[in-house]
Amino acid sequence: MGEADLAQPQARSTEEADAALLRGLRERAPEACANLYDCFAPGIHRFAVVRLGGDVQTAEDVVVETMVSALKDIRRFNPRRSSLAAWVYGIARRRVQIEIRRQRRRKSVPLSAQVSTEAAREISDGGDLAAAAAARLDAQKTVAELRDALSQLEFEMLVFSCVEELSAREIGHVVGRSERAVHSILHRARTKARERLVGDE
Amino acid sequence: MSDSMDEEIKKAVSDAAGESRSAVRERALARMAAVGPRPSGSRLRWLPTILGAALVVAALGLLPYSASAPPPGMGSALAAQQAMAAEVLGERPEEGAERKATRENLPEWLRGYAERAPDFVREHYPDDPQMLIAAGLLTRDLDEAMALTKAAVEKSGTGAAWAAYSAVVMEMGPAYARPGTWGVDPTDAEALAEAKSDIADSGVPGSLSLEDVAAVLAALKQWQAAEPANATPVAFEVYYLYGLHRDREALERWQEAGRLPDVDSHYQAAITATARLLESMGMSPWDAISNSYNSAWLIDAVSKARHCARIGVYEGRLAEMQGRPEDALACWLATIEFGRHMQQSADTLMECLVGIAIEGIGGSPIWRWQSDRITGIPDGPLQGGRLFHGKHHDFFVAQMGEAASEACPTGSFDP
Repeated sequence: MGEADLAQPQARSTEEADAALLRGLRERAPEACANLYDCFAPGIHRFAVVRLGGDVQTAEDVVVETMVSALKDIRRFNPRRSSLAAWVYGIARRRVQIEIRRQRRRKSVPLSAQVSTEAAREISDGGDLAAAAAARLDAQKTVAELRDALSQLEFEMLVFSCVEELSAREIGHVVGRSERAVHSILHRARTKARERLVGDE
Repeated sequence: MSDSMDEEIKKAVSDAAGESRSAVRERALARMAAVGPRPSGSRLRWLPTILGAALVVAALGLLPYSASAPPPGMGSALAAQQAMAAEVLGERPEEGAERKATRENLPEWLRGYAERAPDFVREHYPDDPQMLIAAGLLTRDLDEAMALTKAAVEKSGTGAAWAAYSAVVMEMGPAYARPGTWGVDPTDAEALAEAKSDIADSGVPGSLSLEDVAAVLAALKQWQAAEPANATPVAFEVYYLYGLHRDREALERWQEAGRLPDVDSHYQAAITATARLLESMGMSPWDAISNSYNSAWLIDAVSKARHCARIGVYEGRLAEMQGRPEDALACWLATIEFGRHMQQSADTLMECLVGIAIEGIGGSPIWRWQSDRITGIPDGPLQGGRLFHGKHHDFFVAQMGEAASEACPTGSFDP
């Protein structure tokens, strides 16, 4: 994941940019659709993958369905009530919750959580592949530990705050809580995350 | 402290999630382009839908059998058999058809056994690796399958246990399609374009990403460490390397697989284990043996090994077109060797037949050269691969190996 991708959320949520994007989306302009995707898809993908326990294919479906839903319902978006980012992440979050309910019915534990990482480190003839595979599995395990240590809401808020860099107000719109409650829950989540991460070291 | 922890979380989440694929962007933009203007707000706009649904419900009520069950004569077992036959014969799956037999479409009469198997084994045979393997392959719950086969590996560490565990990991893992996997000839531009279009329409990804395959590769590496002389886990690794489009590494590994004398998927061991489990659960010995094939096939090497052979031949044809006959021959000879070793080490007729098919796939482009030379007719009447079994292969390699490379700098053989 490049630095540029990570920096995108900071740059995207200006009111002017939102207004221009909104006009294009209401007219169904292809460039606006592409802009919407490029602004939000990387973040939604990250959020959906970690929230769905590493199920990349379902996360990709969530990204596509979120984009289509956002476009279809763009007239329902009210810029006075929330930012475009908060509104789109709200759609993504609801999509993810639907998929999680389906996952529970399937009772499936993600593959990455079930396979040992040791062998990937020992891949002797893969070079970069070995290192990358081991790093990927390690990161997935760290995320899985955080997910276990936190409640669903705390985990989601931490991802929105630390990774997607949404403001407390925006997070409040996404999860339907007040700004004050978001601060309080985030504080609790950070404390638990610190205990887990420091404990692992 | 808080900032550094936030950074750590950010890095872990970004690394764990990986990047979104460009194919997803294309899919999303295509779906968004298809979104038309909002429908009018008329309250009657749902009327046609409601009337249509009412008609469907009425029609279903008139059917002579339950609409949720397959129609008489078209049971799931038959459909699974047809899908498996198509898979072995290399046909493209029909749109909407089952791609292959799965745990979900086990025959009806086995489902009760599949439901009970995990608890039965945990209660009566908790330390028996053979029973753990059989229950892992029979159960319809993939997490149970993973737990049971993992326990078998931890208790025995045998090749059969690793094969069963890897089969489950691969079953949970990703699949992909490339034109080469469908046996398309890259010189046939029309067929190639059609294959690419079919792949795009099928929704199956054309490539895999590292996060898709990391867990599968880890499992396969562990199997390779347990059985270093067995070519099967190497061939499976090749399948995923082709999915990552690491074609050069894939070819090198495919050549290594071709050099390993043992190609053992442990299919026979799985059949034996399943028969023993079914008999222990109360099935008659005769039925237990005949039904043991219904779940043990999960462990077989048919599909992925054949995909590797097809892509190897496809890559060879590309190399031939690009004037790299040495690379082309390397692709084809590795495929022939793998197929021959598979026949020699086969415990079951199924594996032997697949070995013959793989040798034929590898031999067909080489035989085309020889056929052209004998008849003077390009792609002449001698069909590729038919004579490349037994001594004919040795004859060809002895006669044509390096000479073919030297005589064919441009990729088209001129005697």
